[in-house]
Amino acid sequence: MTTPETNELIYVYAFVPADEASKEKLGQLKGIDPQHEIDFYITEGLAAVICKVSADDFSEDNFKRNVEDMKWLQERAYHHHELMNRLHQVFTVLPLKFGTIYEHNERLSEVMKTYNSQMKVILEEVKGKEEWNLKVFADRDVFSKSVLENNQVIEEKKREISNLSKGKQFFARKKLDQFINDEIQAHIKRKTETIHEELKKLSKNAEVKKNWDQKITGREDDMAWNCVYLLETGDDVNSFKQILRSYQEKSDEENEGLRFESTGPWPAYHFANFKSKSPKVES
Amino acid sequence: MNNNEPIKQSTVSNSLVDVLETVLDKGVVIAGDIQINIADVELLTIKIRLLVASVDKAKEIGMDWWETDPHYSSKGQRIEEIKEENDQLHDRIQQLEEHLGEKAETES
Repeated sequence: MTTPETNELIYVYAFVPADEASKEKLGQLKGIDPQHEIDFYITEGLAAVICKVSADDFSEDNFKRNVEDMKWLQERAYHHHELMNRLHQVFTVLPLKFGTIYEHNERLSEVMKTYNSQMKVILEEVKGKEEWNLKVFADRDVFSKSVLENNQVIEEKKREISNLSKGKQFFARKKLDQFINDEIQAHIKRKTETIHEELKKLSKNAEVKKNWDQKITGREDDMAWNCVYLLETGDDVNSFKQILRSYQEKSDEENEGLRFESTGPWPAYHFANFKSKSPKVES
Repeated sequence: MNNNEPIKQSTVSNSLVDVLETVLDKGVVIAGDIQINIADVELLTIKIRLLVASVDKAKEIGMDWWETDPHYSSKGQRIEEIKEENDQLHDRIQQLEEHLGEKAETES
């Protein structure tokens, strides 16, 4: 199948330092459009990792339609993700989000020139590092026990309520429930913030993300923390895991109902936004 | 728990959503020439849930790679460890059996 030149767009996965870009290290790999292989486009000390793609699938309108198709999206998103891991194993990478497409080489080249220094700063920052995601889940029923057991204020309030008239008890209980709720939230918040502070000391950078609600996680327990950390590969990653392990153990011992779940190593997706980067190294 | 990683109990769609959460930029692709709005992860997840009715279904269509990929899942790592341990135990049993066989032969 041959497609005319004009019908091709450029899908860009990542930027890597030009002096690292070598096809031997990468090997022959099929691109997101299986008709084409992964290639480099090199200019001004940077190499874009690219794949030519057919406009039939990736022109703005067609792409928009395709991402509505979950199966299509999944396959492509996984490909993007797996290829990025491969790149991350071999090169220093500035990873781009899924679906970064340029119309032709000149446009890509223009961007690589305009943001040249920003991209180089980021590559320097993420060199030898990896991203880890931490999600903390709290089982509120279990966690609330530990909060309620040692809470004098709540005990006192309960006693007060039992002395009220029936009608007043109803509203007083409602108020107490709200109070307990807030108390639990505050406890969980304090806990996750303490952990975050500790992990932040270990990290080169961190980005707090939105907690997902149960509709998304499909779990019984609540997501209480969602954050990505940029860590130096090696010792710091080991310490990161060790910290989480000991928090988990401690939490299990105290029967707090917290789960610490980490995923990684990811390429530094969250720390690669070259468009919002100032062009000089901050020091 | 002797697991190397914090305990992970991923369901299929969760792992999938982890990937989408990371590779999609809040639903908007901003770095390229082509700008599209991909439904954000929340909406995608609901769609995905409808698509992936169960773990078995995912396995059927070969979408369970992350479960055994040690790179992404501590469960996968554990499976790898168990496999290795299993192989080692098999070897050891074989050695012992051979050893016993030799012994029996020399004794009879």
